[in-house]
Amino acid sequence: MKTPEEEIARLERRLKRERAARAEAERIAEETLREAYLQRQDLALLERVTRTANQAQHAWGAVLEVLPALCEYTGWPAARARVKVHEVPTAFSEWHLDPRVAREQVEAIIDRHGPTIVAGAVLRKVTWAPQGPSDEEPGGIALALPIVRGDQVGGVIQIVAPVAAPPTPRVLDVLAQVGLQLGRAVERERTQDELRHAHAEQAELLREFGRSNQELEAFAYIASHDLQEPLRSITGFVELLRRRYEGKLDERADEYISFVVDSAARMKALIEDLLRYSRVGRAELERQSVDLSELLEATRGTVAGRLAETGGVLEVANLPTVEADPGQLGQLFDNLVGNALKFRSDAAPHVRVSAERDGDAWCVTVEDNGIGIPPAQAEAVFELFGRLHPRDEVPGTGIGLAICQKIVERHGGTITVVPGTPGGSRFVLTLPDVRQEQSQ
Amino acid sequence: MKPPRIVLVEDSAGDARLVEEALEDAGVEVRLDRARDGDAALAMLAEDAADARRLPDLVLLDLNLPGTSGLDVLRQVRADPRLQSVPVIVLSTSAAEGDVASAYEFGANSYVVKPVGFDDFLAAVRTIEAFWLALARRPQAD
Repeated sequence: MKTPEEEIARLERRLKRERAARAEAERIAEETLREAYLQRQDLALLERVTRTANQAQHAWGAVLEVLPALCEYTGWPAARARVKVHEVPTAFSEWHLDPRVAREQVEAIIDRHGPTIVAGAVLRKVTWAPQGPSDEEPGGIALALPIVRGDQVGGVIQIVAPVAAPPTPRVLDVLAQVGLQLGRAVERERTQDELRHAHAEQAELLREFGRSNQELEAFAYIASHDLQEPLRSITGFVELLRRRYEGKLDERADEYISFVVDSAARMKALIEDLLRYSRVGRAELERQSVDLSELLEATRGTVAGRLAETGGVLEVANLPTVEADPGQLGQLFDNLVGNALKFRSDAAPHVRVSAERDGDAWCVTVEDNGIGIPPAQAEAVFELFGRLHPRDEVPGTGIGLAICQKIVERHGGTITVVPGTPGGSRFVLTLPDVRQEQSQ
Repeated sequence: MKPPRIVLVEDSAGDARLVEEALEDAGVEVRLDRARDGDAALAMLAEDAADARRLPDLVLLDLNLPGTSGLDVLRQVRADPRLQSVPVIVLSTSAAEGDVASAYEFGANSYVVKPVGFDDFLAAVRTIEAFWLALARRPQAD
């Protein structure tokens, strides 16, 4: 049987145990609450930073907007930032300051610890100084938060306090995430800038191309007109020479006259082609429904002579109606079919024109069994004056295909040439379909 | 009968000579007066206009002139009531529709594209003779 003293002692011991347990429980509860509170703080900051970073037009604005939140989160009273979107970083912003602290104080701290934290930030890590043993340093404490995009530093935020506890690993973690979020804003601005720049460059190139094209056309027009007068003299007077001195000149003189006459004829062809070339660009483009089958029949008429003398065949498959300038399209096909008959092989020339749908446009093919074009010359052949054969082998000014390309491009299409099978050439061009809304 | 008189407004010596040779080859007898540019042509025609008997039977007008343009000369000639009865044939290197239309708008009676070969010159001259000069030889109604 226990004495009353023993009972009291036992009860006192039990009370002490229960008090300790309750203190422990309170402690745990308080810590859990604190933990939850901190988590909420972390989340609130990250949410705020992410939203700001996503909405901002410019990285600079986003970063400045976030500085007060960072000060609030860390409890440190001063922060500033700088941003590096392209090659050159901006200067540091003004300090965001809690009114309790003086700028001179803050600047003294950054002077002292700046170099240390900058070195770390370059390695894309959140860095703070001094990392000494004591909690409170008379020289204050500074932290650098690098803004990180990929493996590049897109800027840095410096946060400073005259007196503070060193940041916990958890805070360093959160700040690192802040750096990543802000990095995305920098990345986005950078990409947008580059895109804008590329567009501007492209627009300028197009303008320049248009300008030089216009100049070329104007030149071709003026040149061809001014060249006609001396050509007239050459042709006219050589012919007069022939007539008036028929039989009175020796054979050699007659040969000289022949050479001049031939040259003059070639020059005439060149001038006419140059004029045609310049006219393609200058004339107003008429947009009509053009039945390609009908157009090719007209072409057949144009090349009838050469078809007959070469024993050639022009095969026209089922062709669609397209939206184009009939005059220019006529020139185009006259040229292509004419070329096919001109650049023939030993076999009787066979030219085939066919078409198939290509999206909302038409793809027209003109193929022949002629001498073909080597793939290496496939682009050069469309150049102005681009000739592949010596003048005496195959006649031609070298302007015809340049005219064809110009016509096709004015209609918004493309033209290319590939080797035919088994030989010869295949010219492939695209033309717009007839517009669906027919007026009248 | 006096041969018809043609005023040829042409700055190119070569082209002018070719016209002369073509007229000769075609057997067309004319009195050819040449003006080397627009201002000279206007001066010459102003003098002619003073006397109805001195009016030329035909004016051949090259459009491509130095200084005062061919179209300008055409305009001024057509603006002069005394020169109303004088036919003006325009000679031009351009066959473009717009240029032809302009010439007719300014009052040209006919438009000839300057040929390159001499035979074509001859053909052009024969046509001109057959139509315009034949007109001139018709007796004038009083």
